[in-house]
Amino acid sequence: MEKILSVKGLRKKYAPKAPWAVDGISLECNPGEIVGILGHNGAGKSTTIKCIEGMLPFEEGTIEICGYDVKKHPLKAKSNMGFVTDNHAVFSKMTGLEYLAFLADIYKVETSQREPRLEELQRVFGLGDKVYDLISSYSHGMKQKICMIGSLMHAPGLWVLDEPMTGLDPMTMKSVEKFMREYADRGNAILFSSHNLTSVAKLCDRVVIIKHGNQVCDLDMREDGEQQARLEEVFFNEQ
Amino acid sequence: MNNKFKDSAPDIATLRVLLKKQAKETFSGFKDKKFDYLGLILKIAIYICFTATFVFMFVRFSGVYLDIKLYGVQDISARAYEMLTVLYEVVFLLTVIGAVGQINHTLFHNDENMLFSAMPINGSTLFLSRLISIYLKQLIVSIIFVFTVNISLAPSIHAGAWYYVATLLTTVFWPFLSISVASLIVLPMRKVLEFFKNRFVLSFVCVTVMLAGGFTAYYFVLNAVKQILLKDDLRYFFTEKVMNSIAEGVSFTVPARFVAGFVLGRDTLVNGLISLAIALVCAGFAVLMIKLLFRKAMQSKTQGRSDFERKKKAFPKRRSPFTALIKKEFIIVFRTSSYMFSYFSVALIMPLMVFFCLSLGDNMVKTLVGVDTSLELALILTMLFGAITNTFCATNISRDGMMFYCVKAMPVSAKQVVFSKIALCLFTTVLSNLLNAVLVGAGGFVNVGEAVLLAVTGVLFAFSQICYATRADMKFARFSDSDGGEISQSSDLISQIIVIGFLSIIICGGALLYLNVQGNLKGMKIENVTWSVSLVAAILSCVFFYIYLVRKLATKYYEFSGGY
Repeated sequence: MEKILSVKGLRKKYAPKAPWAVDGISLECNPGEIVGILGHNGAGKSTTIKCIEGMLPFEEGTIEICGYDVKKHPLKAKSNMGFVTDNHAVFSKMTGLEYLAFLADIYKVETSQREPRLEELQRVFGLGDKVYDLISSYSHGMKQKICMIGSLMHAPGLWVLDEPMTGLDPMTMKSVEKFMREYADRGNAILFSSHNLTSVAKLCDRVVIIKHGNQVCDLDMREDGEQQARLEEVFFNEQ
Repeated sequence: MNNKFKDSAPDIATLRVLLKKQAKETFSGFKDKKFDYLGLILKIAIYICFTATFVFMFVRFSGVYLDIKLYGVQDISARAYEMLTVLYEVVFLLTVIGAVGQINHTLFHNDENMLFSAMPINGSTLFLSRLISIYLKQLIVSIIFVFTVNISLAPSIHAGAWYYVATLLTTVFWPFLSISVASLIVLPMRKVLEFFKNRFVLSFVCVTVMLAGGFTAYYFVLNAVKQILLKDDLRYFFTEKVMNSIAEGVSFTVPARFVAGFVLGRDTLVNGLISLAIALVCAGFAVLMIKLLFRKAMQSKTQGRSDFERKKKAFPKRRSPFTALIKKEFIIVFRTSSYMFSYFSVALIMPLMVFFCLSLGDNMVKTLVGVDTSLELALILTMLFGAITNTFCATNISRDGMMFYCVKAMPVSAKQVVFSKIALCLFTTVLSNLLNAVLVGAGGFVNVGEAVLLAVTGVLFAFSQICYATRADMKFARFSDSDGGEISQSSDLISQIIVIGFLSIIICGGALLYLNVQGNLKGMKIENVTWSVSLVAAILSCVFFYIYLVRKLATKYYEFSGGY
């Protein structure tokens, strides 16, 4: 079975003399899997995710998305990935619909697939008529929703989310969690970072814990019923 | 109602803390390693040039104006009173406009108000700190305008000690006048601005028309001054009829005529008392109005509001990634009022600026030197105003804000991203230069061939500047963390580009002008020199800066991580 994401020996530093922000992380995401990245503030979660997304250059290691190396075939690798950033960056002078159309054009989504996909995602994220408004008028949560909808317009094989639940209301959060499971079950893979242990334990098939840029463990949450307790033990002991 | 807004005495200790914080924030920019010192020097230089020109012209003008005899009688005091009244009225209008902006920003666009409303800070204290801040800013404006006007006039009227004391008092009290009138205008002004808020096309048309109108008015004023100067005697212009009209007009100006009378010692007591009464009433009124506005601002900040409209639309039609990127660029520039003004409106007005300046300069040069330099002047002016317009391209990368990184994560190449920005700039500059060539050609300053040369060299030089500005911005870009990444502070790169552009134009354009004048005076035909030099220079700069842009573009693009 082909891996959707394969990260091997990833190393990244922000300045030549700075310490490694990410030091030799390796992880994989297989079809149907939800993989969580856990770690305290500054552990290297967001840096790892930004390297995978192509936002940050990295010094060593390889990253492959759907078999495409991000350095050798960046455009093909990126075409197979959807991402949601932690800062909800979005072109706020566009309306929600214009932003989604922009992304659909960039990812070359077929004309016939655009409307049905928007309808489906609208049901999950519940943005309603706000999609016709300028994004600058959106609340924090609504910006998070439009980012999520946009990241899925091209139905990517890999969905990468950095702190996805921040700013969402409980109803939407539940709906998003349900959708994440459904989306993974369609044969896609999801990689997301979070501080919420309960949410990670409930949703993830595997959890990678990072400390000071190093990967300290890769837990398979499907193994038995005691894994949540095991996750908490490892997480708190490693901090 | 929130208890914080109920009247209570200001807390002096907290007031001191708030003022100290504001002062620190005002001067914090100097501590920034990337502080735009060049920009500051440029601003000071422009101010000094402007003031020096004003003082020079004003002293020359006042010397002649004060000599004017009405019905055979010379009355220096009456002429000085008229001059000062008219100038005060102009200064009054300018300071009121400035005060409207300051009140609006301090009260309605300051996120700190919301933060402070949650802190144990007395509402009166906060209000007073804001009021002092507005007053101090207006005082600086008052010193710049009122003080300069008064001191410039002093030697011509042989001013005594009282004049200087009154000047000082006027400078200190002037902000009360401007702030009070501005506080009346702020709310209606906000209503007007809110009406235009999401009406982008209407805003664009109105701003451009106003800008064009402003330049046209400026042209007519300068043209009148030129005519007067060329006739070499101002007294022919100021006939008895004109002088009577001025005297009548002056009697309607409030508060300028009272302040002018007070400063010049004409019915000092009466004018002084009226001025003081106006200042006090205005001060009281200003405090009341701003207090009301302040409550409104605090409430609107804490309660929040929705002011957007819904229009259901079908999914927009499919575009190629490159076209989608160009459309995105257009939307961002067109829907951000500051960008729209500083680029699209200025680019559209550029031909008018060239035309007006050419109309003024061409005739003057012909009269003074006796040589036809229309083409050279047109080239210099096109480059000069083109350079001003295209400095906006120095925000090509930085105006994306944190979205720069998101676009990096999308399946589009560095070339597609950068060239979509260049394409929008190029489209704007081609349109602007074509209009310019047509206007200058239609005005009879150049023939068809020269108009084509003007358009081609204009576009080529603009392209060079766009390439340089974009690449330099990729090297030095700083992303704003405001919503949407809108840039609110001027960048040192823009100042650099203005200085480099101006110097190049002055050197190259000046050389062409010199060659033409000298060549014509010596009876040589040098038309071909202008053509070949301008074309070769334009093509060379175009090639050089294009290579500068594309060299290692992808590497630089993907390696840039300034914001993280």
